[in-house]
Amino acid sequence: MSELAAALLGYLAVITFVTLWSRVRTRTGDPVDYFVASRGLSGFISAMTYAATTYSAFMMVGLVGLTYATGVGALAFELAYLVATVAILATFGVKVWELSRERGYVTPTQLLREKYGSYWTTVFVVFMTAVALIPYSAVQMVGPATILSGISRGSVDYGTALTIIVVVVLLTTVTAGLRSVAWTDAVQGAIMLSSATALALWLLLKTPPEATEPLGRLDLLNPANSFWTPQTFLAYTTPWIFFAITNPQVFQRLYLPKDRKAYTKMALYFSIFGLLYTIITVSIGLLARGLKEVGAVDLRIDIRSRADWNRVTPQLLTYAHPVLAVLVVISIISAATSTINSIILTLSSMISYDTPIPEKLKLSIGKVFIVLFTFVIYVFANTRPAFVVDLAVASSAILLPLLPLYLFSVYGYGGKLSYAATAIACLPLSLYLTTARDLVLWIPKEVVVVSLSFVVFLLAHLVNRYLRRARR
Amino acid sequence: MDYLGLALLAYVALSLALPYVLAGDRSLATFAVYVLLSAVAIGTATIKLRRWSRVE
Repeated sequence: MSELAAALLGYLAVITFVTLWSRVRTRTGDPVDYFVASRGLSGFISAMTYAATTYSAFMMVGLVGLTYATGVGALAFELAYLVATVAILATFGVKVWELSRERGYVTPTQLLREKYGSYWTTVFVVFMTAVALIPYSAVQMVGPATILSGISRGSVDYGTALTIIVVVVLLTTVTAGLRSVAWTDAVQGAIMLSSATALALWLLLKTPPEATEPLGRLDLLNPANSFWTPQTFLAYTTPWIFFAITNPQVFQRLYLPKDRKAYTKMALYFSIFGLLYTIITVSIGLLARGLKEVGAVDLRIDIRSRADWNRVTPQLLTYAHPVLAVLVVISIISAATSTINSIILTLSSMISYDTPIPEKLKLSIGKVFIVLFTFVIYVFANTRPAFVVDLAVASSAILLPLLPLYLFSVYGYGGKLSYAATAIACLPLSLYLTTARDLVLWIPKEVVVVSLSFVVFLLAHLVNRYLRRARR
Repeated sequence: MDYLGLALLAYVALSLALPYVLAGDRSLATFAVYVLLSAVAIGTATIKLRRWSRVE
């Protein structure tokens, strides 16, 4: 407990110091500086906030468990996401960065509103984005709070653990907006990578040579084993390979680098971070499974129960040195808070800029919504209603209809009708499809949502062109 | 889109197809191939972005 208390106090002290330091550099009263740091961040800070926003508590909890249960296919899924994101950063992302300079964009949805010219469709997109991302943020809080409560053996109860996370989120978001979020993301990203490395090294030193043999025998080194069927692989990868486009908190990070060199550095440093973090977390999952199979650790995980997979990391930490265990818990809290604060700040900026709020009130209304969103997320995390869990699991898939909207807006294709038709028809449809547990399709639902969204967009575009010609 | 952009799209397609190209493998080949593919994609993207950043 003393190690945990010291680590928590140290973590809070560092986060507070960095937050206050970033506040000194913020231009007060300027909403553009508050929400996107006047689009003037260095390459390194841009990369670290991109990485810490993208990589959530899923990596050290979800991906470790997924690898433990299903093997090296989890690496294929996660690196397919990384390769796709690298490709997006080097092609589509460049266009977005250039447009953000020319047009002075603050939010991702400003791009849609200006390109397609439909104000109320944009308001609807903002609403649906909040529907997808607020439950996701709540579930991001639940995991670390549960682990923190567990490792303290009850001396920090679940409610207190949740409060600590909420305090970090509010402190880093309200104080100096994007600057405090980005700078604390850099610190938290470093904590995430170093703690994961320490845990992997400890496992590696603990692993006897014979521990890799059962991995082959159990078909865990086969990327196309009985779990990773083509349908499952596509269902997992489809929302993720487009994550950098469909998730506004990640999309908004494309605006941040101060010049082309900073953008290039952001892409390179983020990619290296992502590759290292993925290799390390997948290795932890494989090593843990090898150790379990040779009897070196007694992890009680029911492989048939997906909910049980998330218990691999917490159970593994009971075997680690207390200092290492506490560091890993702090890194999981860092991963969660650095994702949640970015989501809250981006959603608040979308409320300020894409709904009818006067220029003078943009900053103060934005801050009110930061507090409001944080409170709603806290309530959801505390009460854990079933619908919140369903929405959180489906969050990235729900946002898939935004893919054709953002892609075509940047390349100048489509208009008001295709925008409205795709947003109003496909976003609610994807919400229904991805949360309806009873509905089983042969093709992954995520693939159906993406395909339908493109078809609706292009059909509406053709109808619009036909109507225009008929009028002439 | 230039040839580096097309190469990046090809890497994405390859990353989606690879599990079924390597199906049945029981060594650490998948691990090595994916790490190599990611490194090549990062290198390609960096070359493409460096060329773009020189324009300014």
